[in-house]
Amino acid sequence: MIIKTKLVLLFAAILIFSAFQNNIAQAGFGISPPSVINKNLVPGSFYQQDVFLVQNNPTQTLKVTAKIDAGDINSWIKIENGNSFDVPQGIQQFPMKVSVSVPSDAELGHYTGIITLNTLPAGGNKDGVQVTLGAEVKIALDVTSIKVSDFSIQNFSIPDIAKGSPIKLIIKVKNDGNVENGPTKASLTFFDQYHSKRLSEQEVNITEKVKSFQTKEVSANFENNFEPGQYWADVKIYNGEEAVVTSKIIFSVIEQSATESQQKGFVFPGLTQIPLWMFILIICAIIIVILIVVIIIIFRKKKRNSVKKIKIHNDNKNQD
Amino acid sequence: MEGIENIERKSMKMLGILVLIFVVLVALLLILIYPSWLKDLGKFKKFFLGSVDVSVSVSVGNVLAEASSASLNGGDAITLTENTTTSITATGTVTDNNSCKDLASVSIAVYKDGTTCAVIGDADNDNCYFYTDSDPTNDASCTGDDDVTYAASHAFNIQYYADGGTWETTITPTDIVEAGTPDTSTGVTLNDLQALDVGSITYGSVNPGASSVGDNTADVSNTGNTAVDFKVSGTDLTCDGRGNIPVANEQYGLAGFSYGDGTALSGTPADVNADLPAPSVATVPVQDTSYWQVSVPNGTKGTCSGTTSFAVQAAL
Repeated sequence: MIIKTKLVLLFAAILIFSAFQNNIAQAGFGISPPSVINKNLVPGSFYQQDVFLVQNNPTQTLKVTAKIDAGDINSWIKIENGNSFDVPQGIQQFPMKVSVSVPSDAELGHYTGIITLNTLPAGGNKDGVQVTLGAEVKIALDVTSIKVSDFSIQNFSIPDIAKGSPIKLIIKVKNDGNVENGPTKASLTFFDQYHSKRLSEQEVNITEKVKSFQTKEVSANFENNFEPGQYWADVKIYNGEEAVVTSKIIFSVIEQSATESQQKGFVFPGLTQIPLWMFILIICAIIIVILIVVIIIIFRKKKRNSVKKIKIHNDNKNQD
Repeated sequence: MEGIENIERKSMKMLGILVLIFVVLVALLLILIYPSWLKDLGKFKKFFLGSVDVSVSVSVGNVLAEASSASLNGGDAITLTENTTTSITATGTVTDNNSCKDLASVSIAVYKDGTTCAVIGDADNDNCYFYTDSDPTNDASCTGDDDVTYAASHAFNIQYYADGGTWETTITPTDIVEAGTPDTSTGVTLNDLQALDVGSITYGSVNPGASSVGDNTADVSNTGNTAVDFKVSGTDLTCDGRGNIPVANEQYGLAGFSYGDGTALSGTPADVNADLPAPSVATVPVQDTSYWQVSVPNGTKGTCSGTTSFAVQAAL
C-alpha cells in the first residue's frame, strides 16, 4: 500500500515537472527607432513614421498586438498595420507605420504616451512556460504655433539619358519642417568627360514642393544638346538664393533607344538590334540570290524557245 | 546557229541591265538607310591612299584622381538588426583623367560623424568600418585604358551595437603616384535599436504543495545599440489535468533567492531595473541573468502552460 502511494506521488511529480519544460528556443526582438518624436507639429499636421520591428532569426510568423496608451491624444495616433498584425516568417525588419493626425483645434503643448507591443509566435501557446518578447515605443509630441522651415537633400542623381531627351536631375528631399517646402532652383554646368572643357550652363526653377514631414523625389529637366558620350555636371541646388548642395556628378548620353531604331527598320520582331552592316549584307545577299535565279530561269526559257523556233524553221526549210 | 547567238547576246544584255539595276538599288538602299556611310569613305581613302607620318612627342603629366558623388545607404536612414549584422552599401565615383587603369587603390570609410576613420587601423565595429580596393583596375567598371571612371561601391556588415547618430562615408582614391581628392557623403541617421534576446525558463521538478529550489535562470542579453531595461509580466499557468498555477505564484529577481524572497510576477508589466548598458566591441555580449521560482499549489494535475513576457524599454 505504501509502495502504491509512493508510485502515485512520483507519477504526480513527473506530471508537474513536465509542466515547466520550456519548448521555446532563445528568441530576440527589438524596435528601431524606439520612439515617435516630433517637436514641430502644428494644429492640423499629419505625421507618419516607420518603427521597424526587428528579429535576428525570424523562423516563424510572429503575431504582434499593439496597445496605444497616450491619454488625451490616443485618438490622434493610429497604427496603419492595425492593432493586431503578423510579421511574416523570414522578415528581419518589418515596418510598423505610426500615423499622428493632430486635430485643427488641438491645444498647443507637449504630449507623451507609449505604444506597448506584445508578440506571440504563431501557433498559440506551447506546453510549459513560454517566454514572449515585447517592447515599448515612446511617444513625445510637441504642438506649436511656430512655423518651421527645414528640409534637407538626402541624395541626387542624373540617370543616363537617350540623345535628345531632357537631362533629368532627381533630388530626394526630406522635409522636417511643418510647412510645405523644397529646393527652389537647380543649376547644372556641363563639362566634357574629363571635366576640363566647359560646355554650357543651365538653371531651372523647381516648383514641385514636399509636404511637411515627408520625403519625396522632385525632379528638374534640363535641355540636352549633347552627342552620345560621358559628361560631367557641376550641380548646385538652391534654397532661395543660397546653394544648399554644391557637388558634381557624371552621367552618360546614350544612342537613340531601341524603340527609335525599330521605327527605322533595323530590329526584327523578337530579335535584338543587329549591326547595320549586317542588315545591309543580308538584304544584298537575298537580292543577289533572287536575281541569279530569275536570270537563269529567263535564260533557260528563252534558249528552249529559240531552239524550238530554229527546229521549226529548219523543218519548214527541208519541206520547201 | 546565228539565231542562238543573237538570243544569247540578248540574254547577256538583259543580265547586264539587271546587274546594273541591282547595283543602283543597293546604292540607293545604302544612301537611304545609312547616310553616314559617306563619312566612312574618308576612312577608306586614308587607309588605301596612306598618309604622311609625322613624329610627335609629348610628355603627359599625372593628374590627381578625384572622388565624387559619395553616398551612404542611398541617403536613407540606417536601421540595424538585433544580434546580427546589417549590410549597408557605400557608393561613389572615382575619376582619373590619365585612365582608371592608373588607380592604385580606392579606400571607402563608413563612420560615425566626428570619428577618426582614415586607415584600416582605425576600424572599430562601434563607429568605423574601413575597406580598401587594392586592385581597382580589375574592377568591372574600369573597362580599359580610355576609361577614366571607376564606380566605387562596397557593402559593409554593420554590427547591431554600432553607435547611433549621424554617419557618413568618405571615398579616397590613390593613383600610382599619390593620394587623390576624397569626397564625403551627406550624413544619414543610424537609428537607435532597443532589443533583447531572452533564454528559456525551466523550474525543474516541483511537487504539488511545494516550491522550486535551486537557481532557475533565464539569461537576458542586450542585442541593440542603446542602454535598455525591461519589464516582465505573465499569465496563470493552466494545467490540462486539473487546476492552475496563479501568475503570482511565480517570483523573479536579479540574484539567486529562495521562494518567498523574490518579486511576485503579475499580469501588469513591472520594471525589473536590470539596467543593461549599451554593448560595444569591448563589452559584447552584454548579458544579465534573471532568477525564477514557482510555488505549485495542491489540487493541480497535468501539464501546465502559460507565458512570461519580457518587454524592452529605454534604460530608466
